[in-house]
Amino acid sequence: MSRAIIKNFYFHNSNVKGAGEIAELFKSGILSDPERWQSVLPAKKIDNLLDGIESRLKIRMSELSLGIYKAIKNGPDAFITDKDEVYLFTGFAEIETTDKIINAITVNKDRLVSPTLFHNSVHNTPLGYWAIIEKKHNYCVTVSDGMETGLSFINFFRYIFETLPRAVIAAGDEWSRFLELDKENLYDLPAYNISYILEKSADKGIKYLGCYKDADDLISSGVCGGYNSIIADRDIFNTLKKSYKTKTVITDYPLVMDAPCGVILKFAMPSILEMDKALVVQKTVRGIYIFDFEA
Amino acid sequence: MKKNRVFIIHSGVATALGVDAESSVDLMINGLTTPYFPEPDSKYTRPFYKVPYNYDEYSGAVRQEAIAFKLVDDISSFFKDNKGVSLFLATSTGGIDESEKVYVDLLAGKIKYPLMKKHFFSGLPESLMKRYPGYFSDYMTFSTACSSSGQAILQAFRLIKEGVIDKAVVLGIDTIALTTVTGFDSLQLVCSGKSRPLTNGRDGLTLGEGAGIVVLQNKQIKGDEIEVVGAASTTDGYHISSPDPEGNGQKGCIYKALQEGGIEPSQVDYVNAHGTGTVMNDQVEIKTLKMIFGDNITVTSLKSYIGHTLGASTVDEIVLCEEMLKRGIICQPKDFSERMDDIVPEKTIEKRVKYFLKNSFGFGGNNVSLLLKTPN
Repeated sequence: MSRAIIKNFYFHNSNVKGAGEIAELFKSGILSDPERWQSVLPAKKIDNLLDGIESRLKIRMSELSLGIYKAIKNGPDAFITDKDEVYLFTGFAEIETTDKIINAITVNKDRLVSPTLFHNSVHNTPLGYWAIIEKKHNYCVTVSDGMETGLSFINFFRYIFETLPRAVIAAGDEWSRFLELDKENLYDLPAYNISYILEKSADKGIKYLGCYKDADDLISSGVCGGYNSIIADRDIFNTLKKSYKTKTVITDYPLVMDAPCGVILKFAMPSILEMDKALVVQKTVRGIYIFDFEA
Repeated sequence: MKKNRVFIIHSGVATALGVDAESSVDLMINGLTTPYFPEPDSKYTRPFYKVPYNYDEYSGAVRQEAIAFKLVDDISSFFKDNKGVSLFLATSTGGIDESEKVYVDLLAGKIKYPLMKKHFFSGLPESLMKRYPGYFSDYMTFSTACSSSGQAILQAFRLIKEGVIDKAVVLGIDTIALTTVTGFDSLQLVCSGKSRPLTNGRDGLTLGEGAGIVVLQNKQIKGDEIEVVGAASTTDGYHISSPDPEGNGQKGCIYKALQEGGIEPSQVDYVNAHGTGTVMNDQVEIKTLKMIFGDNITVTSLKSYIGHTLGASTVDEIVLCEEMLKRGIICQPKDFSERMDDIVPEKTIEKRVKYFLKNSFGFGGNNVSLLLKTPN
């Protein structure tokens, strides 16, 4: 399995923009202190997404498309070559646009909908707009598996990335009322966008280590013992924090809450937080996946 | 480094022509397919093609699941000796028709429904993992509108070729949804009757329900399997729902696929076109194909028979091509007329095809071309 470094990172939600602001939160201790999360938790929507986008197309773009465009533009854009492949991971893609269409045809009984709404509703729309505005012709693909999209990213890293020297990663979701129609859905899903270049490296960066059945299985394996820093999703953060009181255990939850693509942010956190060595831990429906980071 | 070869060792299909490739091609040769014309008071305003099968044996499953279950059952012999295979899913609509059915009641708070589990992409792969324990090791769902299953095949092909995995199951599926019928109609891309791709009389597409499954593997079983020899994808960077009128993105994509396969344009015998039947799509695609292949090529679109099955269209049309080309023929519907160009045959012809190309072009200018080699 290959190691990969992360370059040209950008992230935003309603409160936080860029690697520097994430580093500030880390230094303040918020990422490891659940009692202080409330003050920084992201809102459902990101304000002022139109700012800084010159293209007139922006008035037609959804919040997700605007957010992904800005994340790529503020992150890897200037460093993307013609050969780079661009992968968008999104749990629900253009869900707000889709909700508007379903509402129009089922509630209002409309026989036609806005053409812009419809062509904006497909999962590949954000990369389509990015390519149009930036006049790019790169390989672009969207992967979407709902709440399990993080697992799809892990599969991408373990398999597809093996065949590539590097890849441009974009990820994100927008909030929609649609997501709250399901009363069994207890996830908090704010708007956020991430982009970076994932590049193969011989000896530095992040590497897949293995998969464990559950938290007990992971802890009893002893693998965490070799790390002073652990970055985990909220589901397992508390367990690890209690088990490893002398280690730095942090979570991405204050930045993306229950977002399905949180692992994509976690991949970048050790490098943007300037850690020497860290363990990245992601719980999925198939088990707990762990990744080693070496600076 | 020596690359692996990639063969299609099992396949299955579900379209308006039926739920197996053999009888589907029989129908292509002997008869005509007619889309379903909704009643005047129906919520659907345009005709569409539907899979003529009720899937009663899968009670409790939503239609998208039932179609997928049957396709997996159709290739169950493969799983007798193969477990833990990677699953590459593809869909454009993700079973959104189920959400449409419950949306009003959910909005009014009248019912509870596990929308996140049943709809929007997360539902189907987990249903497959649960129903067929051990069959699949992991999954990924590709969604690039009409090129979705082309992308899934491209990725599976590449991983097998590079030796990362040795086999993969690719399943593409899209059911009919009011969202897509109304949406395409709003873009003025839907015809009022049966679509007539690659003809001068074309006036839009007819949507179709469809699905296809293929098992890709790094070695042959019987020696007569179709081989995937090239796969490429580009982005137009031109318009969110219309192709670049100059066909530059499509041209680059086709050339890359040919280059990967080490094949000259003159060696390609047949192109199974994206051929949606919309004025613009067919115009650009034929222009692009003429630029690359000149007049020495045969081009048809299976959407004449099954409609546009969106994210499933690449894989279901490849499965139909597999059977059609095995019989040494290239089918055209019996009522086919007013062809756009001489490279489009006027009727079903006999032709021995060695190399053929499958094109898929999706919204956002997402182009996929797959180059395949038959055992002929």
